This record gives sequence, C-alpha cells and structure tokens, in this order.
Amino acid sequence: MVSELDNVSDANLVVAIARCREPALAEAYRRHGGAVYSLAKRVSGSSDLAEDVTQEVFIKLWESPERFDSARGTLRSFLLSGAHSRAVDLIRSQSARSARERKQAAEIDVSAYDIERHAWDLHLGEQVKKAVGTLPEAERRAIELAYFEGRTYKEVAQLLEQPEGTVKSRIRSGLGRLRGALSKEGVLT
Amino acid sequence: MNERQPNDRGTQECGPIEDLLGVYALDALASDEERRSVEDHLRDCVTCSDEVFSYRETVGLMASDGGQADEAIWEKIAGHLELGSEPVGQPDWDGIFGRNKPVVGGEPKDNVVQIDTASGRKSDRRRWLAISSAAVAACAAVIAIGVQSVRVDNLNHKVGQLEAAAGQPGAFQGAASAMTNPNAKHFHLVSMNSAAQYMGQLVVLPRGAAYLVGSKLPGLSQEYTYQLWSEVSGKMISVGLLGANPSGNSLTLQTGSVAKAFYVTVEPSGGTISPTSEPVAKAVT
Repeated sequence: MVSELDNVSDANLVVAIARCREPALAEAYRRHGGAVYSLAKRVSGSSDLAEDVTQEVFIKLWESPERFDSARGTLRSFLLSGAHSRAVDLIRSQSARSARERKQAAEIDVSAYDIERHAWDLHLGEQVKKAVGTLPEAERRAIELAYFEGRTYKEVAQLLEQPEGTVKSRIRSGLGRLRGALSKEGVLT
Repeated sequence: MNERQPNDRGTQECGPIEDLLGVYALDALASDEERRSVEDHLRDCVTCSDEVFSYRETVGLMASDGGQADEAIWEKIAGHLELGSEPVGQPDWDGIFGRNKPVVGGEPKDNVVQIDTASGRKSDRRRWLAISSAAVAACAAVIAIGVQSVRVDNLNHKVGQLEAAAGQPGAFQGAASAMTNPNAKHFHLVSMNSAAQYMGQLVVLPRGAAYLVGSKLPGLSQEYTYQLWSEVSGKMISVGLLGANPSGNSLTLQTGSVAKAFYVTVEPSGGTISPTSEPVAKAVT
C-alpha cells in the first residue's frame, strides 16, 4: 500500500482528504485501519460486523472530513470513537447481541486482562499498561464492561451488582485517573 | 488559561450532566433521551465538551492495538469512493497537496478557472452529467455551474478551515471546531494604535462558547494579564482572563449573542471588575 505519505501529519492528511485525494485516505487507513477494525471486532464480537464498521468509518471520513477537529484529539481517537459508537449501535440490536453474548460467555475468564491485551503497541503499550495498573479493580472493570463490551452503565451496574450512580462515578473517576496517569507519562498532553 | 476557570462552564447547570460525561464518552448511556440531554449541554459548555474529548483520547489509547490494516477491507472502501479521475493504487503523489487543481468532470482543462476539489467526487460528476444531458443541456449547464460553484465554494471553505486548524498548535481545545461552525461569528482583534495591527481572531459560537485563535498579543510579565471585555449597551463586561501569554484561550460569553464589540486590556494578574487601563486591542464584527 502507500508509503510516500509516511511523514505527513494526520491533520494534513485530513486536509488532503477534504481535497478528495484518495491516497491520503489510503494512508489514513494504513495508519489506523488495523486499530479501528480491532476495536470494532472486540466490541461486536464479529469479523463481518467489524469489517462493515471499518468501511463505514473511513467512508464517513471521506465524506465529512470537516468533522475531525485536530485541536481536540488525534485522528486515531476520532476514528476509534466513530467505530466504537457504530459497533455499539450494531450490537444493541437484539439479533447480534445474542450471538455476541454466547461468544463472550466463553471468554469471561480472561476478560479481566483485556485492557492490558489491548495496549497500543510495544512502544506505548508499557506506558498504557502502567497507567491502567493504577486503576482500582472496580473502576477498571466498569470501564472495560462499558467500553470493550458495549454495555450501558445500567447493564454494568447489574453485572457488578452496584448502584447505577456508583458505576457512573467509577467510570468517570477511572477515566480521569487514567488520563492523569497517561499525562504524567507524557503519552497524553 | 490552561487551568479550568469558573467561566469556562456554560450557562446551564453542569452538575447532573457531569455524572454522565464518562459513560457518554464510552457510548454507555442507557437511553437516547440521556444522550440528547448530554449533547445539548456539550454544545453550551466548553469545559464538559473538553472533558469528553479527553476521555475519548484516553480510551483510544487503550483500544489501539496497532494491528495491521487489512488490504482487502481497503479495496472495499476504495470501491465505495467511486473516484473516477485517479484509479485506486495509481495515485498522483505530486498533486496530493496541490491547490485549485483545474479539473472539470475529472479531466484537466487549462482554460477553466477555479473548480477543484468537489469535482473529484464521482457522485457530483454524475449529477453534473445527468443534468447536462439531452435537450436541456445548455440551460441546465448554466444552472448546474452555479450549483456546483456553490458546492465547491463551501468545500473550499471547509478545506481552508481544516488547513488553518491543522496549522495551529495543539494546545488549545475546540477552536478548530468553532472555526468550522457556519454559525460562528468571527471578530478580528486589531491593536488600538494607529497601525491597527492584526492581533488575532475571536471566534464566538451562537450560544456563547468563544475562542481566541492565533493570538499575536505580545507576552507580558507575570504580574499582568490580558483581560477580555465585551461591550454591551455601552457597558464593559468582563469575559475572562487571557493570561500573560495568550494562546488558544477558550472562554464562555454570558453575553455572546448580544455583544457587538470586544476589548482587551492589560490588568494586574488576578484581573479586575472593570477596566483600569486603556484597551490595547479591539474587535468588532
């Protein structure tokens, strides 16, 4: 695939995408397509759904590049956010959910380690892992169920047998703690 | 201004919404009604909006596993793009970042002025070809040129805004989004001296969120701060402190919808209730 755009920033890639330069979209896909697909598959539990979500996310970037705001985050987080949202929509349809739950039931024993397994790459993975390690187990589990399994906070509350308000607070405080730890590590600014 | 300031909050009460920001960022709200209420609030509140973005950035790091992108999926995406002028896999690398490429219907025309980016999209071109066919060709072509020009102008505007945002330092939050908002008001700050030098741009959204973009205000010693004021009915109302070295400030205007002019003064570092010095810069519509 493409390589000549290796040194172009993501923000400038999106500018080029807005100018209908297909190679720029190809480069954005090369950089982030794997992560988008991986998250969509993790959330949906389905290769087919993940493929659909990945296509939708990049076609949407092509059609509405102005929705990306380089001042408010990275292109990767923007794409992952779109993929997550779409994947969650899909799995909340009843038919997809039952299949996914069967799959997840078989994975429940290892799911406590999923956040670590989803650590970015070898370069940043250690720092992300370290930050995740600062979370109390209750916060980490609530975030994991909500984000990686696409559960609503009410569902998380039922699964963890905690009050809904507690779950909401734990998710927010956990995210804040993670953000702080990653900022301390210099991963986030 | 990197620290949260009380006036960063919007006019609505943040309390009940704050509890939902984390679950909103994770797409874990339990109903569309909750989602709508959060999104309504985020349109007003810069600080809560920034918080959601920061959470999404955070979980994005957790979710990034760096797996290799599947080329087979790319082929399907490329198939959807319906590009006609450049075959997939045969990109025009030299022209990737070129501006105002004179293209109509995918073919270069040396004698055609301006039309560029939007004409690269096949869907647009199809509409163009459909309209310009048969007996209505001549008349329809004139109309289509007008429609196409508007579309191209709009796209050029968006490209320009994206380009400007891409060139900004990454420290500030939200300004690029505001700059792409078609309903935003843009106030150019100019110095009060006779040179009337450009000192930056104040971008104000309809519901009060405001951003100082591209500040050229010179740095002050730490004993002082720039303070922004809005003029409403002849009175100067403090909008917020810009700090000694303004850069990408985000503010919330309680009077954003009615302010017609803004002034910047130099004040003691804690700010003042009313201006104690003459303005150094002014912004009008």
